[in-house]
Amino acid sequence: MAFTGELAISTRGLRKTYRRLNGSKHVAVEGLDLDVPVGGVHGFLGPNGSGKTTTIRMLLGLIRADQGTMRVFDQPVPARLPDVVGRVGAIVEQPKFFPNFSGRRNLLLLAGAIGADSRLVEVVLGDVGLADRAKDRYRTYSLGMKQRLAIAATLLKDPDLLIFDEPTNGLDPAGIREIRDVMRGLAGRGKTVLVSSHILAEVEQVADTVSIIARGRMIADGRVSDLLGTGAARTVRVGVAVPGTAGSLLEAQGWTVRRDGHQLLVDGAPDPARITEILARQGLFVDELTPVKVDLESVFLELTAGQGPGTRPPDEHPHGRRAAGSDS
Amino acid sequence: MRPLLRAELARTRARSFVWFVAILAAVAGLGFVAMAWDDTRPPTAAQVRAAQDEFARAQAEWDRTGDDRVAQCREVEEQTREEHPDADLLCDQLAPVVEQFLPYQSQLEELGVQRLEPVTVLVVLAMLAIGVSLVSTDFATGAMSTWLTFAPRRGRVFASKACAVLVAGLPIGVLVVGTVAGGIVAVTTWNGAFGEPGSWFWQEYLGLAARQISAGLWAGLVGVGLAFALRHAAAVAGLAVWWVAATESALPVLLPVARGATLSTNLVAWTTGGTSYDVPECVPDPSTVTGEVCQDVAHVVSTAQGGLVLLAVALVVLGTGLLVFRLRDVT
Repeated sequence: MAFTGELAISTRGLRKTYRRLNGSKHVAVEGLDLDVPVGGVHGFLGPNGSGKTTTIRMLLGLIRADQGTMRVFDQPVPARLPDVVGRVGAIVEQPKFFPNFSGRRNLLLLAGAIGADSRLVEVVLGDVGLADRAKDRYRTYSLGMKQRLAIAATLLKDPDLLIFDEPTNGLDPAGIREIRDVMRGLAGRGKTVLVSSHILAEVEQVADTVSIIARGRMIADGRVSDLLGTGAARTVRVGVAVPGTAGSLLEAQGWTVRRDGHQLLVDGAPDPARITEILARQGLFVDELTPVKVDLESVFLELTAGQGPGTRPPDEHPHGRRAAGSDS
Repeated sequence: MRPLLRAELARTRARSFVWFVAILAAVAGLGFVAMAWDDTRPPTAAQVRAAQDEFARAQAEWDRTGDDRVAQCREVEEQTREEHPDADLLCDQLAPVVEQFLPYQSQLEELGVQRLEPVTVLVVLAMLAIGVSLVSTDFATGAMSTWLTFAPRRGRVFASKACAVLVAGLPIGVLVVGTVAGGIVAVTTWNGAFGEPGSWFWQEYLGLAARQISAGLWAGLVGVGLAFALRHAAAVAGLAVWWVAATESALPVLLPVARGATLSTNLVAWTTGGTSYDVPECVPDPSTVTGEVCQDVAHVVSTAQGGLVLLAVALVVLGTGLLVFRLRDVT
């Protein structure tokens, strides 16, 4: 996916606090700078309670920011939201439709309300694979069908930007895959898709770029490939008959070696082939040599230093950073 | 705005609660029709037989004592005329008639307005509940949040809800009030008590019905405003109970002059074409034991005043609702 450098969404210094019943304040979002490039799928990731939904609600004008600025397609929101809302389709958490109306009638109602061409209803129902069940009542739909109907609703405006807040919550693996395919399909049609999720692995498979937040603050953003490349990268698992000797040899190369049972975890190794070469010269032959798979989840855990999701403000962590080569 | 209103009306039509309340109010209104039927029903055969028996006994008594009773009456009448020359004690009408012993059969002209008046409470409560539910349900289910992501102009969403309650409330008001008003006329006619109502009656009767419908629409708007301001139906119900207890009931007892400002007084004034309330006013009088003399002074509340107060209340509540809706987060 090629990015133009234009931003679909941009926030600066966004802050939102909620007052608890006992009068104390809870900071949901703190100084958030979020950039979502035009085109592709952008994952907005973080654990539950990290401020993703709050941020999306602020972008959609549902709640007011205490501080900071937000722009959607370069228009300040919420002030100019009515001007750009036609270009934005959004699902916030579990959308609510009329349970006694059919899927089709729900969409016709929405199309009427937003002035969309009612002929589009059949098109978007087909887009999300609900054409066969369109006449059934919404309350008879499965969770996945409800989410697909919600996506269809967002497509009624033929928007340039789609915002999906936790769209796969509660879905079975088949439903998750369907939603993922829909998102990729939309991105393939030139749409910008912002998808929030607390399941990092799930978004990793579909996102081109990501922003990771914890406790309301940005801890990393950029291309997925860049984040994976600079995260807990270059760790190789080595299985060898004499791990003690092998460990000393590898440490002598300047790499960090950790014991993991009868195996070694070698951090910072440039090339697995080099490990084989060094050990073979000393008559040590490896029985396993596996690059440790790096995923967003491990990147996230590294960034939060294993403190658990969202348990520590990111700016307190020495490794808090942005990925190199970020688009934003 | 018009597309939003159309969508809102479609949603309103689909709400079973709206249908339930409308039908419940109409059925409850049939209670007043039943009361009118009871008031005007002709005597049963048993009642006629009993009346004839009573009449026969009274006639026998009259045959025995009638002349004396007429003479006594004339005597009293003459004495009375010494002070009131025009006094007429109707001494020539003392003889019993059978109608005296039959249950009284009211005529439409006498009871129509009286039986229709209480419907105001019914239609106001029904429309208040509908107005509140149209908004609070959306907040409670999260549908408001979904709706605003498609139509973010909150002022328009607010206006579409308010207009929807007016458009949907009109047929509901007509259904409830029309059921009762038409039912009363129907049962009195059925019972042979239609009589010969004059044009003044129809003017008053139909005027009352029309103003009751308008009061229902007013209540619907107030319900919408309160629900936007408080969001929860339970909160609105709590406020309504507090208002009735504190402002409509306790305040006039503590401060009688405040009765003129209560919603109930102004609602009655608007629907019935004016009302009045008494306020005890006292002046010092050293000659009495208490040191003052008091009398009730009637204060009139006109139809126009009632209407203006209701209008002002609706504007204040709607304004507050709009302000809160525009400023408060929707989660």
